[in-house]
Amino acid sequence: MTFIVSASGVSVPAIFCDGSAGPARVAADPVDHILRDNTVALGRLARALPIARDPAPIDLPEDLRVDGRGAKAVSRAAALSVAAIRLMLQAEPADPSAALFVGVGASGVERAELDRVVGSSRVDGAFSLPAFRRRGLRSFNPLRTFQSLPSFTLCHAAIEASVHGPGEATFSRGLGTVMALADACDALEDGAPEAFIGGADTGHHPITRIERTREASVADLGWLSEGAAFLRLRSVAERPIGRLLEARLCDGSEPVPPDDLFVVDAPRSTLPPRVADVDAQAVFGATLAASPALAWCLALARLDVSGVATIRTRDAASGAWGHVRIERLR
Amino acid sequence: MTWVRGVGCVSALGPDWTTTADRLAAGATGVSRVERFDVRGFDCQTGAPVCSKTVSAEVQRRNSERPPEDGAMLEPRVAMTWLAATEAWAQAGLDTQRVGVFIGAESGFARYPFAFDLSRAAGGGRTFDHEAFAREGEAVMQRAQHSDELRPAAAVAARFGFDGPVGAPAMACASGLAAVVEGVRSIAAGECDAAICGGVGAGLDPLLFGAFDRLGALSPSGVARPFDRRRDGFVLGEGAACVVLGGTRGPSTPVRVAGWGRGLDAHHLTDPDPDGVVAEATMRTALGGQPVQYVQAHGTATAKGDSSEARALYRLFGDDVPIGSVKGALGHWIAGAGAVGLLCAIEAVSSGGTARGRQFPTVGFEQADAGCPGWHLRETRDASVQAALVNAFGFGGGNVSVRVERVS
Repeated sequence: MTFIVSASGVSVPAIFCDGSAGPARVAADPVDHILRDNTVALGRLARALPIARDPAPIDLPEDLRVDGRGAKAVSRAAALSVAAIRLMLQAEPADPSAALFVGVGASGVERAELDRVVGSSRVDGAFSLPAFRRRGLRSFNPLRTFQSLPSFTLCHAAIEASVHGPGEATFSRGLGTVMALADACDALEDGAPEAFIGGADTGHHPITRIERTREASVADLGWLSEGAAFLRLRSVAERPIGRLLEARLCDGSEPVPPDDLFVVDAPRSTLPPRVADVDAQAVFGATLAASPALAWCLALARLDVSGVATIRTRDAASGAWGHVRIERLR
Repeated sequence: MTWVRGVGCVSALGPDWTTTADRLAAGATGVSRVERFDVRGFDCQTGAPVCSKTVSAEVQRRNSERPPEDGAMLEPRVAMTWLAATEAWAQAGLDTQRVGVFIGAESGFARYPFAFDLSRAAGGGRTFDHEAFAREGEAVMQRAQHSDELRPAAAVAARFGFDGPVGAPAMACASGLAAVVEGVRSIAAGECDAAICGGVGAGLDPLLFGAFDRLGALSPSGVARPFDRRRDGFVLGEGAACVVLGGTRGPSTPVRVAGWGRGLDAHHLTDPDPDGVVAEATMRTALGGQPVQYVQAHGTATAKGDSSEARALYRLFGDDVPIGSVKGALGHWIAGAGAVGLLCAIEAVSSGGTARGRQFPTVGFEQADAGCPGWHLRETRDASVQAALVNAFGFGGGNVSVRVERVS
């Protein structure tokens, strides 16, 4: 049996958690909070979408930010990952042997940083290796290298939580995060005292935008967004907020169980035949590796006590589907 | 129970595992001065590249009846992974399409021509022109065959027509071995009948080379010397290594994956835990209380990395178990490192088939002193090895260990 002890997440600009005595800024009713804030977010993003500017710094509350030297090494996705896990741990610290599994995206160095390197490495309009060695590398802050490693979205969160149990970052355009959830359940079965499972990603990196444009039709693209969310799982829990019933890959045409709530996490034009009760990407935008975890949180927020939700995630790259079922317990 | 059904590899020492293993056994090294680009001015000037012409020729030869149609093979990581996967699959003797593919592959796609073209698409100056980038960037990405971490696994699955799960663990230098754990887990969960698992590294490019050089991780002496007192860093290598895992025993390789462990240092962004406490716990989990007679160590030849691993090994085994590392001979494949380490461990415990039960010499190792008082790397090439442990430890503190054993 896998119980969900709590859920927390950060989307732009909503912050929410459930299952814990969270800080005052967290809304008492996460459903309203999510919807209200994301309605605002949708309006903001719609104006920002014409890709004509650098993404604004993530506007996180001060106590959720990565500061100091770490700020130079942290990618946007890793910053969101740290914020979401820090939010969760405010109620109760992690067991040091806890497992941590995170769906991560293609982390990238800030374009401005890479441009500085390439710009400094040009001679007569062409890339020059000697110039790269002499000037390009020197213009680059080595700490920024760590922004480019997808595994660091996991590592920053692991350091934040001080967890040393089994863990993995899985590359994800959606489905990888569902696979990570199955992995986390196995870790619990193998004896981990608790497991943190989630996703963190940003769609605001210019290369990601281009990649998504290449992968998807305009109708599929949706509005690229960013966020992070985690579930805290245990095999034995005193007052769990929910229970995980199933996590697996599935055939897209497989019938949906007649549950109380059907949440779909997929680009609009690929929605399955049965009409969803909630379209998670209409709420949060396309957050790529983070989107399934945000959808699970949304399902928990929407369910009444003893209600069951099916959440279907469609991978943005492969088109394959993942299937998760959650029961709300309190 | 998960069995090894086949192995495959492409490396600086050869286009397949048989050639690579024979040359490793003979003490050969694939490390040489880098000729692919001008390395004057860098602290390190060596690497272990895989020749792109050799890869292209091998891809053409193996594809003679069905040439690649989609250009995916132009991407070095995809081509090398496919070569390793086809070699392993040919040995496996399996007749199923329910096959998962898990490949660690996050190093080597950001090659400098790609980065430069992208920068030019964004205006080529010191400020990023998003509108120009939106117009020109997609064409650059098509030309550059740029692809994400999942591409090698997805391309292999598509080429074979497999319909199992596809995954790409992103654990830096532990990715390849983490992919093996994913394969074991996926078979056990019934998601697939078999899995192709492994890793690929294609990082011998000015961008990655320069970044590691600037970080001081590469060897100024140009020789990676795992666990040696003169060690001064690693050299970058390239290659791909794959295993086919199945739920049933195969005809050629009587080896099974008997245990595995994963653990997070959560200590520091760049440095390993100096005492290797989590690494030790990870190995202990993989061992499951069972013995091994050989350890294929991560052994990066960095001062801190080897010291941390040696301390963990010493607490677990004392001086009793022979240790080896392949990075002196093949360089460090980053995401692919753990996968080729696994092949070496399988080779150590195998008998019959394509594997011959041997441990390879640790090229570069001469003077013991890994920063762990009392511990000495002991090489033994004639021991009867029934079981072996393989380690892969990633930058940022992700640890993976796997135990393999021969079953009579």
